[in-house]
Amino acid sequence: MPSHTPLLQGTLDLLILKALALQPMHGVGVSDRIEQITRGAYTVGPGSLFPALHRLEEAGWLSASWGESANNRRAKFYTLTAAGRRQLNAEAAEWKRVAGAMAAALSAG
Amino acid sequence: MSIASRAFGLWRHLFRRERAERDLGDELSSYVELRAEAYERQGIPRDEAWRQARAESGGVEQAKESTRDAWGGAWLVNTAREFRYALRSLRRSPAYVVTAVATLAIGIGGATAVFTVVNATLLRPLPAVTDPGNLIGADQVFASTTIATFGYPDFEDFHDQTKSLSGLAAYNGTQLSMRDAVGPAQAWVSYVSGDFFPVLGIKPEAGRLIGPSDAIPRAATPVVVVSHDMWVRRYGGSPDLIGKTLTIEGREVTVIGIAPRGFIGSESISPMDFWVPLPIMFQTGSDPFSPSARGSGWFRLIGRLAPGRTVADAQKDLGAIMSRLGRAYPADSGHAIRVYASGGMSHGERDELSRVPRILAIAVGLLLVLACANVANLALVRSTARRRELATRIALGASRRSLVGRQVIEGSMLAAAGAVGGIVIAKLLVASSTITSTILSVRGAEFRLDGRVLAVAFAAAAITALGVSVIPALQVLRVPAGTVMKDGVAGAVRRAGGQRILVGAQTAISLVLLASAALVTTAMQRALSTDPGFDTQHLTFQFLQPQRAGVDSAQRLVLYDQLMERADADPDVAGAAITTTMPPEEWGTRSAVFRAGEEPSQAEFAGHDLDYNVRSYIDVVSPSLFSVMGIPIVRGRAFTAHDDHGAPAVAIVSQRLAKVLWPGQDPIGKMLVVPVARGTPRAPMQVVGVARDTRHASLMEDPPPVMYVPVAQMNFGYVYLVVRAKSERQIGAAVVRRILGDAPDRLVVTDPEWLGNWVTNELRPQRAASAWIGAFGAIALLLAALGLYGVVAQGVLQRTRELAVRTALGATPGGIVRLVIGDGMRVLVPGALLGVAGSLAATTLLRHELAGIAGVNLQALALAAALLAVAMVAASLLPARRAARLNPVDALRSD
Repeated sequence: MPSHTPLLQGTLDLLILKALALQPMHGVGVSDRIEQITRGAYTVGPGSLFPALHRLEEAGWLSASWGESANNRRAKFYTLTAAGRRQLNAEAAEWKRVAGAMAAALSAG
Repeated sequence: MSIASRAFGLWRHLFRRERAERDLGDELSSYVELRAEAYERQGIPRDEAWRQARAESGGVEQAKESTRDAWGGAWLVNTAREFRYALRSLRRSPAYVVTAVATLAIGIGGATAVFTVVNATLLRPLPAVTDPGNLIGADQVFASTTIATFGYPDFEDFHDQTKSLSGLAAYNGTQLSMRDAVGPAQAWVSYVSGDFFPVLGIKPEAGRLIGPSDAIPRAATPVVVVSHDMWVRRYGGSPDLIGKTLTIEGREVTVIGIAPRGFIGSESISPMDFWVPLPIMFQTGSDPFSPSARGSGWFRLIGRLAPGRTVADAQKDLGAIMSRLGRAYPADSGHAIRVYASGGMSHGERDELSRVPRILAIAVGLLLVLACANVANLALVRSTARRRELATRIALGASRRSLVGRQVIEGSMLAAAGAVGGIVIAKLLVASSTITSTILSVRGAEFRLDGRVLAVAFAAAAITALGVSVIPALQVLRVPAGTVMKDGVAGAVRRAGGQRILVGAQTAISLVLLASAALVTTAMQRALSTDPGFDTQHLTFQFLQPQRAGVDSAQRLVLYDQLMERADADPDVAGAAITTTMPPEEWGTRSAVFRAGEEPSQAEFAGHDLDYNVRSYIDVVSPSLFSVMGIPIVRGRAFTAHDDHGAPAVAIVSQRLAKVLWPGQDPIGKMLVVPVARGTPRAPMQVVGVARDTRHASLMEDPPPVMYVPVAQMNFGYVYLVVRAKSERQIGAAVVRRILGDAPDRLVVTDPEWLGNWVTNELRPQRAASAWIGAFGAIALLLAALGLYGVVAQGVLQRTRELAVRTALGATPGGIVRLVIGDGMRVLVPGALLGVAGSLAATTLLRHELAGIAGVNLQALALAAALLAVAMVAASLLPARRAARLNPVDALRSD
């Protein structure tokens, strides 16, 4: 199991939005995709994944519908909405600004 | 984020809950399946893949739970769930719920009922009055006395010279006879100056009101304004009433208008039926109504502050006018004026109205505190008993916040139920007219549960809810997970401190209430058992108004003689007399009296009657009075038929008056003077006898100085006919009517009354206070005893193991009982000491509020303490005996 880095507040939402930016996915897909794009730094269990998915759906950034998985299993798929894409861009920009500032601060003399 | 999607989420999660739940369940099982599949694809054997998928899902239920928390409206759903939990948990302990709710209902109900009465009388501004906040009243202050009334010319000077008031009116009111198309009746009639209605800002319901042009002295128009209540009650609300005439005190007056609904005049004790222009009263010829008398007159003042002016401005302004008047007129010299914001009610009224409710408010407040303490105590006992459960929950991961929240919810539910019960109790108390009339009788006052009353009830409930839940909640916070599990209940022993303090406080409060009740009751008993100095059981009296009936002073004596003769002839009557005062009567006629030769000149005396220290009640009586009332003449002689108009003026003094005027001397033969302010000076009177002292003013007070004057030698417009029955029974009104014969209806205005009732009525405030405080005290005692029982019983439960060991080591049952009771006493004694201190404070307060309370009454305090001790020993004896019967082997095994 990869090492766990504690998630910063709001990071999980951003990761989920980012994970869904390419294509609609079900819960396991989102979880695996996050592990993949963070190079194993974060594993998101269902205990935090589903509350976040439902919260984002309620915020109108994701839409959900039941569909079939690759192996013909019934699964709920989440899709990024237009509002969600705007939110992703805004949050990503903000995150980059903060991360840049932090990196600059830490590398300073 | 979109509001629409939020709203949709909320709707789905609140109202399509089942579907949302199913959806969530499906989603999570699909997650586990997909995850297991993924592991299988990685080459993990099927069973192991599923096991790992499930384990990794970290408990599907927990994931569901946190997802639900993320849903819209989760807060609402969670609270509802907490309420269901609380309900279920309360349902498991019905005895606790019933006790707690009943206790709170009594506390809240009592507080609400008393507040309702206070609200109906004190807090409600006078109805129909515009902007009562700007109204002021004024009292006249003499050397040692304050009175509310003024002479008419003084009023006119204030009225014309004031700069701080936009208007000032004079008024007063009394009960008068009237006659109209319906027939004769008694009515409350107010006489008002022309500014009265404009100052109060009253708009007529119909017609017009009395204005300045109606009330010009010596040219008043004979008009009358009818109250809305009277208009509806007596005249059926007919608009034709305006323009009709009716007769008030024999004078014909024309109805010009109807006052607005609810307007009762400017005194809330006596709602008025009619208003007439004040100068009409000058035509009655009675001295206080003289248009020229300054000094102490007969009129109350009510004014409205000019815009931007304050009560202090008015005080300065009217004070300056008062001192100018004092310099100009001897009758006004040395008088001061006190202005106060009145809201249209005089100080005296406010005082009178608030006396008993004020005491009750304090008693009820204590009761409410006690009820809260008791329920908090019960809740504490309950939560202590549930420590193991709580500790288990905390160990299993329940947050302390949610456990405290649950306590608060339980407390709120109990308080809400208590409030509902309290409102029902308050409603019953208020609806029961006998109870409200023991608090105070205000003609026409409405006792309603209005919004303000309900607000008070709910505020009381909210405070209770907090009080009841905070203490147990604090205890929850202090539970260190693990220790309780380890120690068992025994670990709680050391932490019962809060509960002990509560029981101590309860003991103190119930002692205060009990001691106060005992104090008032013993004072009342003393008043009732003390000989008032006159007979109360055989006498019936009838108020007569010969002056109003137009009987002149010579005819009056004839009338009295006729009445005496008819009484003598009546087989049921042992004797009859005439007197001007029916004791106990605080407001009887009083005057300054002097040894002959020491009296001031008429100019010095005019308007300063109240400034002199030796003041005596003056009763004008027929010779038979002393034998009829049973007042012995201890020296000299009684009056005879020869002490008439032509004979030398004589007087009989009470022992007290003799002692004040002629200490150490024989008063017989001495001369005394009762000066008059105007007109022919009164001749000095020779003292011919000394009558035994009577409690003339009040049964609760020591006998005051009284002098008696023969009815043939001093003229009085109003008298009482007193009739002594032969047998020891109350003489019926019929006998009195028989004696009165065909007396004119203006002579007899009220019904005959038995003196026994009169005396009982005098003690009504004391009786009411005693009954109510006594009832509260009894409830308080019960609550405190229950509280102590709880503490001791729980102590025994917690010390079961220790007590068992003691028994096993040879402690006797008696020793165990002593040990347990001693434990209870350690709570009781500090509480009782605090209670004694509180009782002393209460004594001071009660002495201030109710007449006849002599001061610290050790007997009352001892009685209360004894009652408390008995209740408390009984409360701790039960658990103590149970402790003594413990079988050591069972006890040691049980925990």
